[in-house]
Amino acid sequence: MSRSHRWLIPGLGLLVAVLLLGSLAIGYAPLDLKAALGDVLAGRQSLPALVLLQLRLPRALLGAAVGFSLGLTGAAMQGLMRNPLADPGIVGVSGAAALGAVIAFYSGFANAFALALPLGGLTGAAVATALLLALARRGGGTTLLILAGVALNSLCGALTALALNLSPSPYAALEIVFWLMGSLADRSLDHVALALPFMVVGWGLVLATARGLDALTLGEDTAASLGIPLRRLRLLVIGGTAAAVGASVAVAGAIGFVGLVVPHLLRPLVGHRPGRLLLASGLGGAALTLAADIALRLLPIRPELKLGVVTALIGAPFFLALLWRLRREAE
Amino acid sequence: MIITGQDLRAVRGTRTVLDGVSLEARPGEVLGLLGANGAGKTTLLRLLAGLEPPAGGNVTFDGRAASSIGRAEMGRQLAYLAQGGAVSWPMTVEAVVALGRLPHGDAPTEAAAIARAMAAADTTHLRARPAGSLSGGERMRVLLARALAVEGRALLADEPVAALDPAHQLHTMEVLRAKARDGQTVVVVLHDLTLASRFCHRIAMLSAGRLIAFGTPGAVLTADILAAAYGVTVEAGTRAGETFILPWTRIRTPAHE
Repeated sequence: MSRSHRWLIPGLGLLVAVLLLGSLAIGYAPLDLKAALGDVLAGRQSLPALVLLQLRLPRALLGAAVGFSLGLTGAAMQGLMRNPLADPGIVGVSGAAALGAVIAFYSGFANAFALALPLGGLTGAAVATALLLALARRGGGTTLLILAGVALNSLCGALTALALNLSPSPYAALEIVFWLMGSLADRSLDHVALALPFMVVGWGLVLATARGLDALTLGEDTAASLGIPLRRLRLLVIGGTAAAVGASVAVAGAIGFVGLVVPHLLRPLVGHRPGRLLLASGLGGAALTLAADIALRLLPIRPELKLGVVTALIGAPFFLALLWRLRREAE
Repeated sequence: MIITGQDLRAVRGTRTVLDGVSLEARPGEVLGLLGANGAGKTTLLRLLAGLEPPAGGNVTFDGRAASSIGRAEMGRQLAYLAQGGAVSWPMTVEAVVALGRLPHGDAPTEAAAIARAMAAADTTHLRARPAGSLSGGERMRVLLARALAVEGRALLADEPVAALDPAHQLHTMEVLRAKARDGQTVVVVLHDLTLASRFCHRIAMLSAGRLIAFGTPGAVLTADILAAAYGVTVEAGTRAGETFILPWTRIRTPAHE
């Protein structure tokens, strides 16, 4: 293992920690972080303590967890597909989660109680996951599963558009559109408590596939000859991705480009090994999402930009520049 | 490891691609699988590697079914070298070869086994190169090194010399022969009749999914059998006690069922 490999994970971990602190320290109301922390630890119900616990902490934690989920599952999907164009959305779970949330909006449940939205998202993701896993259990190959994901995504996209189309008021439609752009604003610790368990389970499942994804570099037959159970590998990657991304979309909406760009960026730094890329890409995803969420709070634009818009605004040009450089190197 | 196939049948959709094939691969021998394109060589090799259960008949390894041996143990005992050999990510050659040690998970002896495998396949000088920068022949040798790194008791290779220059074709066949001499069971899919004649101990000739001949090269690589299998006439001769065989004219395109 070269020197750069050895320092990559600790370095990324440190970066995530610093950005987490930054996310806690930066916000719209001035906050003395040290005093607030003192109040929280002493159990004092002061205003700084409330701002820290109710506003800053959920936002920072969700930023890290959602980013980790997207980066990790992006790397895993690219490894499973052996294709650098795959992203976590490809299995169709994010579309289904978005649809679930939109139904919660549309039906008015979202106004009745605060967690209806993420619960709707989780339900959508769960239905899609059950469908995919049933297909995988019946022995569907990777291509079949991805095609099913594409079909699922189109169906959910069409139903979401239908909901917008039939929306009772332009205001309701606008609310749905804004939510779909992805954001971490105004989330509470309840959101964290709801989504985090699914994400952690998903991370565990996906991180268990490192060896299998390494072996898959040489094709399915060779991986099988090395003792890798292919069907189980598919179930783990797709089930884990569905859990982590479904929960992410349910609480934060659709945040694009993180799952596609981060694995690309970090792949050369781990010697292009898909197994080693998993954790690095998760940490990289957390760092990018936290950074983007800090950036949009620092920008003098109000109401604040949506996180999904910012990640795409940063991600897409960056991605093009990367492709430009790779192209030059290949020549 | 004795690999035995008994009355093997394989189907693809509604098509029977292998039917009634019985053979045995023994330790210390190189068994060549020959036949025209589409005759069922790769399918047979996959069955013998335990990668696919047969639709009929059974495959045993030292008398045991693959399912009773377990995936991880099979991975340690039997190396499979796939045809064509894609490497999806531009990992270094050394990292690719190291994948052969995956079923072992034995860090202390890993480096030595990898170095041995790379030396045997003449790829040591490529060790730091990214896989994407290799030529087709270099990549095939790297993948051979990957299979050698398993250091199991059987090595099953699907057209390992297809992309190689003449010197490396001979070298690869010598490597396979040496593995057999070390006591491994070697099964190799080949198209070159002379290499088959010179380096295989026994040959299984497939035609349209059936085994039409099984025995020593002298018994199998006859003008009649080659005409039946490939639809060609051959010119043959001997040099220092070894036989060379060249396909010469086409009688017809090979049989399809």
